[in-house]
Amino acid sequence: MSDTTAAVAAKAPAKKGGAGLNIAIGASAVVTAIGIALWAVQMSGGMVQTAMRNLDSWGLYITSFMFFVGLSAGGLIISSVPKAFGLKGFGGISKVAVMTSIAATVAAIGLVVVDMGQPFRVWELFVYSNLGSPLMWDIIVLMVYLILSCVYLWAQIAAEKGKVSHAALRVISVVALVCAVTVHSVTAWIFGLQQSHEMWHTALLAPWFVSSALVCGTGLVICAAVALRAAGYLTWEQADLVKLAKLLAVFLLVDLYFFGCDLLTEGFPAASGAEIVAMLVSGPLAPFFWGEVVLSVLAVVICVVPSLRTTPMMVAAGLFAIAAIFCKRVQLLVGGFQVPNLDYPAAMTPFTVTDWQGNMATAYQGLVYWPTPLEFGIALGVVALGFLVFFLGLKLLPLKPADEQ
Amino acid sequence: MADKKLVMLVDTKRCIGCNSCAVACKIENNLPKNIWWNRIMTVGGDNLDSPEGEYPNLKMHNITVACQHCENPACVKVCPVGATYKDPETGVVRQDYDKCIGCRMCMSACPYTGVRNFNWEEPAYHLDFAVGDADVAPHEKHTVEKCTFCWHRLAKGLQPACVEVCSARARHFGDANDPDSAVSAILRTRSHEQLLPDEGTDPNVYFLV
Amino acid sequence: MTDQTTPKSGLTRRSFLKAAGATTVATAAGAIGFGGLAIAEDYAPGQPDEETIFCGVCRGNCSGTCKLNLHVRDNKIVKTSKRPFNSFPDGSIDRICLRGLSHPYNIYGPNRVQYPMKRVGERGSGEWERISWEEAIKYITDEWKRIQAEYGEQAIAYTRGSGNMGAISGVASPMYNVFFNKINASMIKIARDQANTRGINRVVGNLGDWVLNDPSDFKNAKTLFVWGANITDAQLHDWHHVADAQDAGTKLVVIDPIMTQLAARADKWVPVKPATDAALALSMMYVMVDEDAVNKPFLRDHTCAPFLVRSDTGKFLRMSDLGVEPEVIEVAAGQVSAASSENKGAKVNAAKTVTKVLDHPAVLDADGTVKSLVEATDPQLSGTYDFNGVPCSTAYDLLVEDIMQYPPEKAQDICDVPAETIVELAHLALDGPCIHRLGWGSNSYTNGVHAAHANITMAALTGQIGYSGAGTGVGDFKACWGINAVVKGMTAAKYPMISALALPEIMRTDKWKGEDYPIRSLYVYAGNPVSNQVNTNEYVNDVIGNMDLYVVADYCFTDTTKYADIVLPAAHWFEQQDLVVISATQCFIHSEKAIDPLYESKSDFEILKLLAAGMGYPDLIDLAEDEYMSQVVDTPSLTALGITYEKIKENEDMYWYPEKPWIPWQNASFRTESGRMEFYVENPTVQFDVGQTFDEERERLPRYINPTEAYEGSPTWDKYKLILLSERPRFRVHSMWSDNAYLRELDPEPTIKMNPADAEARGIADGDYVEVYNDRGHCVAKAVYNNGIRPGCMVYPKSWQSHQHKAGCWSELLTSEYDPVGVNESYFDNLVEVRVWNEE
Repeated sequence: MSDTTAAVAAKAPAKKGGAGLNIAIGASAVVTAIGIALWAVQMSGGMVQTAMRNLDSWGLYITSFMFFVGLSAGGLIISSVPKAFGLKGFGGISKVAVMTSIAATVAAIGLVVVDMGQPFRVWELFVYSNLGSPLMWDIIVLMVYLILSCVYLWAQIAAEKGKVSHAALRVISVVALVCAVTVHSVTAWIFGLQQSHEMWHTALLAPWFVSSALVCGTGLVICAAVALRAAGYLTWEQADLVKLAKLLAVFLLVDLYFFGCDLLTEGFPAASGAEIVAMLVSGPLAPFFWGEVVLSVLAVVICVVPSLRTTPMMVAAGLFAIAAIFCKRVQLLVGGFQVPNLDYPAAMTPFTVTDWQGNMATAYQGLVYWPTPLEFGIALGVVALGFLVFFLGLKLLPLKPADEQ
Repeated sequence: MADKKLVMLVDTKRCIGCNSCAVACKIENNLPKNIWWNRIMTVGGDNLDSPEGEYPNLKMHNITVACQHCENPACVKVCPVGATYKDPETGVVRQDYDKCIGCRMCMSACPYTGVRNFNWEEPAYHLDFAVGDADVAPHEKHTVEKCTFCWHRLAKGLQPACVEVCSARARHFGDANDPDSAVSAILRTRSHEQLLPDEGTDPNVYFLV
Repeated sequence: MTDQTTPKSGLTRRSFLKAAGATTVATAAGAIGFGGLAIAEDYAPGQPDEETIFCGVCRGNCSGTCKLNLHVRDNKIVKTSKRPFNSFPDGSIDRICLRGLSHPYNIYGPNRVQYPMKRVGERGSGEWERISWEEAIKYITDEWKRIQAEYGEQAIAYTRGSGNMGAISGVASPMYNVFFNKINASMIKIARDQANTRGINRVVGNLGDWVLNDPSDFKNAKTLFVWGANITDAQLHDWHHVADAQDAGTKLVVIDPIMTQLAARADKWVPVKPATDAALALSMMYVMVDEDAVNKPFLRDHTCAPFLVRSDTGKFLRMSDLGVEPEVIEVAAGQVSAASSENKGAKVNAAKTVTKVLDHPAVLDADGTVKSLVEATDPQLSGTYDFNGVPCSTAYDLLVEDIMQYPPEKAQDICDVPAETIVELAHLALDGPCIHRLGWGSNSYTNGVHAAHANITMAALTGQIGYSGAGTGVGDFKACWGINAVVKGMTAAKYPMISALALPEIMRTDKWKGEDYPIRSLYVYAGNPVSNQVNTNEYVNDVIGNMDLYVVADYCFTDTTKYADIVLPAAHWFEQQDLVVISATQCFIHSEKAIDPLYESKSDFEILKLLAAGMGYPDLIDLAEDEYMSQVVDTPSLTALGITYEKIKENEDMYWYPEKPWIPWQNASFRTESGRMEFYVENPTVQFDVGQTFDEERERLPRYINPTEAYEGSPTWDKYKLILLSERPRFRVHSMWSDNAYLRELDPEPTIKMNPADAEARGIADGDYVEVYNDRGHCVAKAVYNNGIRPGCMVYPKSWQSHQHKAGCWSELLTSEYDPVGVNESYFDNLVEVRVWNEE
């Protein structure tokens, strides 16, 4: 999704605050507004309008939440790692990269909000905080992450103006980096600490979330930076792009390695985990499983074969990486609900499970969950909000490399 | 540890899956349409009341599944606002609808999927007045609810509705911390199982086998 | 009795939660075993919600008649809960089920008939206009007067189902007879569950239509045999007695083609081929005889075994044949049962005594001479006697000759039960005491009389009857004895009762037993014959189709009200008081009126008063309900047991037998002519006279005969190869509760349970909609795979209303053929086929 809008932006006249950006802002705002209207429909008519039900109680919103938390990583890490370790960076995209993080984080938080049944009780989170809840950790870490991203962005801008020392910026970079790793780990723990879903309950989940975040985050930065370069918003060395692409390949390989480890661990004992492997490989989730594998491999191939590393191909690799991780998120979320702990037949009502009119066996024959148009609409609205934030950032903040401003 | 350890025993040799307990729960708690805190499952074939095996080598039994009021409840740990909590005095896992933010973290965390119900719409009812006990908390849209062990009845010194109505005499309820209670005596003499023991939740609902 | 309770209620949720969080010291709160909770102490009083509790009785035809607390708040029944029986202070029969719990919907749901309605569209179209009670009564009675003038008095008929076990407004009520006998109307008797009765009562005599040891006696049996009874669905209230027995060490043997929940709990499940129970029982008897294990002293002393039977007439050789003059004595007339098998007017002016001719059977004594039964010292079970050239054998020899046709090796082919299992069952049955509870399974084929006859005959061979832990019978639907049917205003019926099974033919021909007998109006109360009687298309076309006026009084809309010309809104059970006299608990129970009749509904009793007035008898029913109930119960025989109407009201419930648990046939005292078990039926009679003929010879002893349709090779076998069985599911009692939204959430739509093998052979997937059909009709339902269904059979949970089906209804498929002796609806005696249904 991100790419199409980015592509629109890319075709816009290459001037800061140009008409293209304004159109992009306007379009994002309109889609966001439609999303909010749809959300109002969801709230007034009830979440029964979604496809979520008691046995598959999370859906597209939480899938997308996981995904956007991941997306938010790339920018910040790409921007902060060089600074934190005093390495040579990836060119002048540091601030833009952080801006993608901020936008993605806003979208992630928005997705949690639209998933809540009682969003007006969100204040309770701060009054009755149960600090033992991974969800609470995540909310705290996300907030901190958002604030830190903003601070980090501000610090970079300020550092450019000489108002913040490089030493301070480096400290902030380190903190931001730690926070980025934490936010993905904690998001993973929302799922990974649940003993009730075999698919989620693995210690690997947190590092894996970090690796996945790096994959899609890097993919996003590649796409955004190329788009902004094409749009003339900034100039960017091709070498930096190639560097990022190589990095993407490394991240992808790490992610695939985790994937393989997890599958082997699940499947090897040929116990209940084998059921999960079967569900992924040949069951209802197979399109998402093979989608992830194929897209990842394609992306790796593009990134490691020098002759393929043309700009469009590298953008494609970035998009493939993003799509692959989205497939991963779908596998993880829907797959977590796809294997019922109690699969005995019981009376089913329209609230029990999405496909409630047969028996338990038929309810789980296909995908136990598939979003309704309303959910797609609301999710799209939240994504548009992310874009809106990003575009507003482009328009209002000095995000171009310092030497271009 | 709680002062009391209120436990429910369900005798699977006696339970015939008649659903009387489910209906008692539904009416007593004025449950909205489509909401069942207590559900009856057939342990057998793919369909209700269907055995497993090939005719005539068949077997089946039933289990009733509602909130297991675990000693180590997964739901309580994950609720970000403490809307679901373990009553320190009785061990009953409680749910505060007014506090629930509707994030459904507890539903996802609970291994006994389905015992927690979300009001996916404004609670709707079959009748235009509240049935059941006057003291049950009103149901709220977009919040999670579940078996309360009939908290309002415990408060009056009564047994949960499902226990009272079981015409098969398959259900028992009481304090397992009291060695003289009937449930303690039964647990000492009858072999029993918990649901999904590997989940580590240590349910306070025991199935006599 | 009414309890005024003001629970400490109305507390706000907040205060409750606060209280709950507190950790004050616990105080005993009574009832529960863990000594109450601290929270009880902290229960904060809020605005008081006064709840009034009445004593009600749930009184449908599961016959459980559970006592219920009716919780009334703001003048509405908001809840029902189980109410303790005072007759059983140990709480052993206190109970309630999912149906009893879901009454609020039956009462307040949208399916109530709210006011009298007159049909304006085609019959069955459901187009009505609202009319007043005055208009309704005037219309009905004007029509009745016209019809009687035109076609004769008999042309008005009335019938019922089993929707109310009450003594005033229900099926046990004499009030209908008071009114309809007065106008000389025809009583149409439903023809249900009579094959068992015929088969058993012709051997042991009439102690009620369906008697067996009180279920609390099950635990005293070594083995409990359940023959074709789906107790865990159809008689939920009895299951705990079975479970208690199992806990006490009783073995449970379930003989059923279907793996029911009961069968799943059995120590031994015997999956038998449908309609072959008689062969199984006869073969078990073969083993008993073959192993010489029968109870000879019992046979000699308490059965007709030693009676000599004349080969020329088939009748017992009697002392009058040998020149001894019979003795004529007067004996007291029997008591009156609440069972509604006869017109209550039959007892009008009945003599207190009846004449009995004592003509003793002749037996062979040990010395080889023939003597009167009362004089012989050791009547012989076997032997022959030549009576003036007429060979005579003992009844036992004839029975053995009959039994010898069923060796296990042969029976295993008939019943599809292995021979060794039959031997094992025989051994279990010999190792008494055993109770054999017969259900409605074998009763539902045209050979059902013989299945019951065979079973009770087995009790004669083992002698296991009439004492604790020993008995054979049905014992589910129980009626009390000793009541008075001749209440004020009762007159004798002018016309004999007519079996519902004969009604279609009468309506087609206007003739009954060869005489002109037009019927033009039918009044239906407490019943839903369109849904619950057999062969619906025949009923709708021939019976309803030929009526000038079809009147239905019901509290809710049913398949039957759909065809009515006038629908009268009857009150729900809890909107009137009544006295329950038919009950599995064997208790009289008084049911209070908890709320006023809703909308414009009136109790059946009140409706009868209006009809009587409309027909010109305003004073016919002029006592209060209480006075009639008192007249029903306050009889010398019940008073002798300490039972009076006043006491019943005071105690709410009273056990109607002097001893508890009641066991029929104690001291082997039977109600036959000889006082013995007459497994050889000297004078076979029919359950109901419809002018039929039958093979007397066949009826003398239990035999296995094919049912009419439900067997391989039957006349329709080339077209239809699946036997269609029903179950009375726990989600309904017949068609009652079929529209209850609470239960419909659990059991939303019509289903047909199929063995996957049968389904797959027909290309039917689990969950497909299928059309079940035969020559009589069709029905569409959802196919549900169930390995517990015997291949070659299908089972449908019964009595959905036609609007709940995509097409047709189950009762369309059922045969209206009947056995001339049992005169019984044979619900299972059907072959059908099934195919995928693709229409909407």
